[in-house]
Amino acid sequence: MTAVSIDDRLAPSDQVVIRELAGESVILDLKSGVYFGLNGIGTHVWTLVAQGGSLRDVNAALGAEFDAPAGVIEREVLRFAGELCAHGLCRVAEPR
Amino acid sequence: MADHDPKVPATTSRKADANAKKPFEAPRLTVYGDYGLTLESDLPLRAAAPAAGRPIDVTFTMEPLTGSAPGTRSPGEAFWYQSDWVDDRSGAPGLVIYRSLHTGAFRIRYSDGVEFLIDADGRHIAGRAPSDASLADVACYVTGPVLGFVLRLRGVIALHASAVEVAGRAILLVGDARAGKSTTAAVLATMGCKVITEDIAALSIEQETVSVREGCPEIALRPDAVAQLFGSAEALPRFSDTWEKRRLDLTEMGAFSSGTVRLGGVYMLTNTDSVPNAPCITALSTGGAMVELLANVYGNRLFHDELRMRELDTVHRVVRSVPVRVAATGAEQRLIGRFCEVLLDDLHRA
Repeated sequence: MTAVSIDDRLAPSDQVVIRELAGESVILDLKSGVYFGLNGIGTHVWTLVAQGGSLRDVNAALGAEFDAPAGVIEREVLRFAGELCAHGLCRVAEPR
Repeated sequence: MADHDPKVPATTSRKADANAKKPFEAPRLTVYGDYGLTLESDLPLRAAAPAAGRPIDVTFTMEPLTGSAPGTRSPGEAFWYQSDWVDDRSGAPGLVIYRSLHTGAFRIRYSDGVEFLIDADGRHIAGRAPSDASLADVACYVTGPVLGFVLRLRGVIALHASAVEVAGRAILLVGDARAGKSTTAAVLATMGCKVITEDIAALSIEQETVSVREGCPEIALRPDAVAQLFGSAEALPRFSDTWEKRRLDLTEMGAFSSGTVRLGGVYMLTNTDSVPNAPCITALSTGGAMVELLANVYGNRLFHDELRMRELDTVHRVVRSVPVRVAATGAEQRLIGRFCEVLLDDLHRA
C-alpha cells in the first residue's frame, strides 16, 4: 500500500477514464486494461481529488457531509488514497 | 475475460476408401448475415438467412495447410494473447493468438491445429485445418469465436450473452460458458419466445438507442440439457462427430428473431448454490452492473485503448438505458423451467 499523508494532493493518472452513473463509477486504466469500480463515496472522493483538493480538504468535505466517529473518515480517506496510488490510478502530486 | 466454451474437438483419423468415389457436390458460394455482418464463405456455415443484396462485410476462405503449421511464433510475428484454458489431452494452451509485425494481421491457433488468419481490418478470414480436422468444427469456430474476434476488430462491442425477444424488446442473458444462458434461451424458445442470438450478443448504437444484432439461428446445447428438454440427448443432432453439443435449429422451430432488436433489459445469470430462494431475480447496483458487464465483453482482454474506450462507453450506455438485474437460476438444471417462469414474470412486471 502506498503511504500518503493528510496534506498530500493526488493527481489522477492521465491514462485513466471514468464513467459515472447514479453516484457510482467505473474507472478504466488504459495502460493496464483493468477496470475498477468505485462506490458512491469513492466516486465522491475521486471527484474532490480531481478538483485539486488535498486529502485534508477531502476529509473536511466528507466530515461535513457524513456522520462518523472521530478519526474514522480520515483513516478511510488515507487508506482509499493509498489504494488509488497503489493501483496507479493516482500519484502524489508535487506541492504547490 | 469471461471463459468462452472451450470446444476442443477430439482428434480423429478419417481415411477415405481410396477406391470408392464420393458423391459429387457442386461448389457453392453462399452469402450470410450474422451479427449484422454480411459474410461470404466458400465453406458451408450455419444456416443463417442469406443476406441477398447487401454489400459483403467479411469474406471467409479455406486455404490448404501446407507443410506443418508452426505451433509457435513465426518470424515477423509478435505474441498477442494466450487463453487461460488448456487442452486437457496435450496440456497446450487452448488458444494462442499472434500478430504480424508487418501487416497487423492476426493468426489465431487452436490446440487442435486449426488456424485462422484475419487481416487487420477484420475484412477477410482464411482458415487452415489439418487433414484430420472436421470442417464442421471449423465452421463452428468461424461462426462463434472467430466472428466474435472480427466484430471486436471492427469496433463492434459484443457480450458473452444470449438474447431473446420479449414484447418487442431484446433481453440479454449474460454469463460465462457455464452460466446457463444457452439452456435458458432454449427453454424460452420452447415457451414461445424468439431467440435473437446465442453466446455472442453484438450491440449496435444509433442515436443513443442500444440494440442487439441477430446471430446464428442455432443453439448449442449440452446433451444433458437436450435430454431434459426433449426427453433424450439423441433428440437433436450433433454439430460434428468430435463435439458433444447438440444443435437446436431455431428456424425449424419458428423461434428465430432476425434483424436488430432494441434492448429492453439485462439479466446477469448465476447458477451457484449460494443464493437462497433461487430461482429468483435481485437488484444490482449501477456500478456493480457496469463492472459485471465489462467482465463479460467478448474478447475484453484482446484489445486496448480506443476499443477499450468504446467498450466502456457502450456498457455505460447500456446501464443508463435499461435495468440490469441478477438472475439466480439455481444450481440444479431441473429448476431451469421454473427459472424461466420467474424471469418472464419479472419482465412482465417491469
